[in-house]
Amino acid sequence: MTEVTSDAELLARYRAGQTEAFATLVRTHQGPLLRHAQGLLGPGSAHEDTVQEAFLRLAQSSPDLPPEVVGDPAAEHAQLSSWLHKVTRNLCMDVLRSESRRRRRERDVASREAATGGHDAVDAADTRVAVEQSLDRLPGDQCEVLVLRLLGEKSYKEIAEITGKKIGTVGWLVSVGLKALSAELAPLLAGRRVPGGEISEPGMGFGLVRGELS
Amino acid sequence: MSTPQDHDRTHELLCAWILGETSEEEAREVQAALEASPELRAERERLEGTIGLMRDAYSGEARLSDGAMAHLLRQAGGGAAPAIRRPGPGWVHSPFLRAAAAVIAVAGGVTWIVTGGRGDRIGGIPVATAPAEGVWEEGQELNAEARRGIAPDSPADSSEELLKSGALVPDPLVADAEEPPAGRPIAALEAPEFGDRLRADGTELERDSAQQYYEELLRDPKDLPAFRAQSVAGLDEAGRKNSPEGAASESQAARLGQRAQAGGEDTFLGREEYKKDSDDKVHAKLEERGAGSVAGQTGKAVDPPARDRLKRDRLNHQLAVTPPPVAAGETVVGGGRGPGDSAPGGARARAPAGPASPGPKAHTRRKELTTPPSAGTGGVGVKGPEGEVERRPAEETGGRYYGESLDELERNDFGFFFDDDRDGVSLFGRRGGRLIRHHTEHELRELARLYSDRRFQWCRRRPQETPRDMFFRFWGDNPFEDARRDSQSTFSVDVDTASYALARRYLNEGHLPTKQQVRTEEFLNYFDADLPAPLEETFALHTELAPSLFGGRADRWMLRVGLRGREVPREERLPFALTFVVDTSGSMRENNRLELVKHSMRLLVSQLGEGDRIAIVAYSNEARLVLPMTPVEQGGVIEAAIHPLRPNGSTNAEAGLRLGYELALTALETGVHNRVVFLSDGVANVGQTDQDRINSQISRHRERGIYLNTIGVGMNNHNDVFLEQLADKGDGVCDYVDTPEAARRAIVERFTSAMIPIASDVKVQVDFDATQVARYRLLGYENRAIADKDFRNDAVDAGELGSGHQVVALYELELLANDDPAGSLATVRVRWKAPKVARQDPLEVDVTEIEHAVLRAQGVVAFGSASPGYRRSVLVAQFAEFLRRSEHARLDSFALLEEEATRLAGEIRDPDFDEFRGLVKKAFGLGLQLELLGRDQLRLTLEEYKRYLYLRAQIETIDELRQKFDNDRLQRIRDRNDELEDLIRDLIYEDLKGRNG
Repeated sequence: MTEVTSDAELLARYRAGQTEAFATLVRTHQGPLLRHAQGLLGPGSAHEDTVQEAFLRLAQSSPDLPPEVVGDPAAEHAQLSSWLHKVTRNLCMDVLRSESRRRRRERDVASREAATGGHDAVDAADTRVAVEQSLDRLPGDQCEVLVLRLLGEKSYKEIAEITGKKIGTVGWLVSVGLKALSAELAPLLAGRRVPGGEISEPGMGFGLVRGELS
Repeated sequence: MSTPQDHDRTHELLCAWILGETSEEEAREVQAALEASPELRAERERLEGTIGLMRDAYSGEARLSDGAMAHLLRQAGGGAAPAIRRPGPGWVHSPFLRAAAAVIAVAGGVTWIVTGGRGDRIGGIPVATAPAEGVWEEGQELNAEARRGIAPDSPADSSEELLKSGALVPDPLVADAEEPPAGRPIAALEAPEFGDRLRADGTELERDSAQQYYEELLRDPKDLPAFRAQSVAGLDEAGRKNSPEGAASESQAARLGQRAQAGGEDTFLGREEYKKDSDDKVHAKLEERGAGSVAGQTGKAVDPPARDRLKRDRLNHQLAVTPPPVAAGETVVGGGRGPGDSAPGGARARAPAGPASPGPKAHTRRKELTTPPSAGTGGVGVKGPEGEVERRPAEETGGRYYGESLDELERNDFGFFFDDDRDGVSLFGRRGGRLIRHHTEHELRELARLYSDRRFQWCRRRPQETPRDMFFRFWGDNPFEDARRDSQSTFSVDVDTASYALARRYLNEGHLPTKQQVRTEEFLNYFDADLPAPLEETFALHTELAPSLFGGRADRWMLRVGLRGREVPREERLPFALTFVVDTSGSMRENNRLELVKHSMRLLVSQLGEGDRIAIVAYSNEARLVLPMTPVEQGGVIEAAIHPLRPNGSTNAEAGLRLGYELALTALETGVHNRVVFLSDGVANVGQTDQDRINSQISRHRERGIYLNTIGVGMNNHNDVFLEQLADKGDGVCDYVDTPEAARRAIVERFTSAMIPIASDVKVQVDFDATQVARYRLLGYENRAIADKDFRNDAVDAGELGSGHQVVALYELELLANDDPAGSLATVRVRWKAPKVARQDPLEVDVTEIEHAVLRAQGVVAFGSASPGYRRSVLVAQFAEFLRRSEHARLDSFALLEEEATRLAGEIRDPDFDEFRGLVKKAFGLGLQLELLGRDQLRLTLEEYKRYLYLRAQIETIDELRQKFDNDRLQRIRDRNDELEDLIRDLIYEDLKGRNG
């Protein structure tokens, strides 16, 4: 499965019945989508469901790639990726809107609590935890554009298309988001580690919802 | 909401430039600016560093879990898209795999499958698949191929060899998967994926319960018991469904069995024996599942040497290396879970066990393991590339290899190969002349081990963790506290009652609330005050002591601490300026919620009087001003504003709140009580729902003197967290209204008083005398605990109390023998600040503290002699304890609660309490008690393990305090620890195993 195959080719193969081709598509696209969804939905596991769903949408009704991109693997990839990001984003919005949001959150808090005792807490590199936490603390729209730009490698224009924002707004969000992030991560930038670095117990922090603990 | 108002064009350009988003002209501009400004250069470094950090942090690709991926591929592969339909990926064309697929469908699960079964199930194949002959040939051919590729004497290297020669093609899903991060048993999920591939080929397979279960486990290892309970029920059903088919296939199986037996003598003995040997539990499990007939099938005389050998074998290896056959019986039972019968090719037959099985020589060549597989200690995925698992030729290790060797494979009729490669058991199938391989069995064991280890790790005492914290972490309840170790108990008052209303609703709808939803203190405070209100002072402090009715011990006492606030007469209170923020989104149409809101507002207005003003904001997609600050005397104007409100659109709560506060600010003046009242049916969903930001806005306004109350209306979605949090931040209460009666209660009886604050940051501290009290525990207030030392730290926030409010807390006590009846058991202290008023000097704080001694002589002789109010509190709290499945209530009697509640209801006239009795009955009817007792062995054992660890932590703490260590005891402790862990590992393994039947 190492040969380079264009997304259009993979889609065609999948339509012809090769599930493996689909698996390859999933593997190549899942990373940025998961980041994107996680940025929107926050910590927990809801983002995985959403990305799964987005791929299902792809399976059920894959988009027709515009003729101008067909034949150019990079453009095809970008096009499909944008489509997937858009679908993922919409699904995330549905989740945020859905009534079960709270239940999800409760579950996630519970699992975060569980995780603090597991390998995750023991092994988690301070840096990663710090970056993730800082990113989580950013307002949703800033977090989203940063994830799309830095992890999804989307251009401002593509981000604008995915999120339905103006390019100028995207640029502004990147700027304020990065500023806030660099302020948060200043200690790390200076080559030091953030104190503690441990994930705090849920329910202990200020502003956490009562009843989520225990 | 981020809005581009504070544009910093240079910074934006700089970012865009770093990210390669600028035009040439802009790039020049940035470069010029950089040259000119050292600050900008520093900023550039920071930004680039940040970008680098972020990219580094996320450099490990995020990926879907294997379970999710498998699910996805199953869906996509079997998807409805017509274009997808095709005979199936090439590799499954082989009749051999078809056969395997069919069997898999038969036996239902996926992991089970090929794995544990060995001979049995291998034998089962021809039974299961009609076109058997062709398959047999294929199988032989395949074996011969496999044989050709490798040296027969080094089976442990076989897979590698095969890989090298190109004869072995690893499952692409597995091969491409990234190296599993430490601690994640990814490999264990491969087997289900294999099943998914088969499904994708059109082979109908049931949803694999083990797979589902793994996914669940990996998400949240704490949920094991609950999930188990469900799936055991499912198994029962599957077992029943299956037995007829199983019987039908028996004769066929017998026929084939004879044929197979011709090849080897003690083929089945080992397996059979193993099963016998493998504990009565398995049998019990079989019976339990109504699969007696299957157990009967397998009954066979066992030859004693084989038994001994296997026993020894098993003892040597313990769980982590127990050879697969332990599952033989189980697999048979659960085979063909439910409607898995839809598998093609007459695949309904279960793979039979026992003498009827035509299995190949599964155990004839099995050698004993003399070195435990290192995967058993390595802890990481079974397929770590650097090979955590030591691989040495069988001879050298004394035979780590316990499966069938390849030469056996050749002699056998099927291509199943129990390969010791990384201690996995592999399934070989054929694909276009090449072999594919799939791990199966050992991963399950590995998963059980990893999972139990993770669980143990979660349970173990953490560094610096006090026994108290540990107890709370385990059970979410306050523990009994040793008064010598910690004589003080400190908490913040709470007058919320939403938890009770929510629980009531759940019970009325026929289900039990979850533990988290039941907050004992909110149950207590739901009921009307029974203590006399002080006339002059802000608070009156009352305590009452009686023998504890519950707790399973006669020598415990229950202390009630009651705090009653002064009732502020209307003429004394400050004039109100209330701003209603009303949710008019589309969902408010349901059940006439908006009408209920209007009703509530009218009620509230009727409670107001001269000098009071109200304003109204409505919000859906946007917020709009409905009524500016208007004196309540202008009833017509107010009604004209309330009346036309119509539900429509979505729920932009933040916009509503923002406009509400703007409006409230117009009436912000000293001597006026300013409050925003937020009415909604649930969560905000459009606009910024970032709660932290909303919270900080609310806190900021609170600092300026604007309170916030929230009222949940209708609330089918039971989403009280959002509203509650808002009210907490705004120092107000959250109420929950679903009927006009509830509206009256919330608004007329409680709400107006809640809006007249008499004290803020009210803290209670009970200081026990350790010469009188041995141990104590506080019921409820788990999330309201305050550090003892912060009682007098006025910077530490606590709850707010309004006019006439009553707060009750209960302590269960164990007293020490003491002849001094005049002695005081405890001192209760209450500390509060005068309520904040608008534009108050923040430095001016008016703090008061009162205290009250609890005397031993206060105690009445019997529970029945205590005051009705006291008894009501105890009964209500006990109900909450039951609903919380509290660790302390495990042995308490539900019947006693009902009996005492009935008795009390006859003495007092309290409609709320009558309703309460109804709820108690309902909860009982819903099987609450059964759940309390818990019959699940794994769950019980885990509980014991936790209790044991807790006990151990207590002992350790005391030993440390005394600096006296009892080594014998420590050894006993360690032994018990190991014992319990072994047992749990065992149970979890069985649990997982049983999951697929």
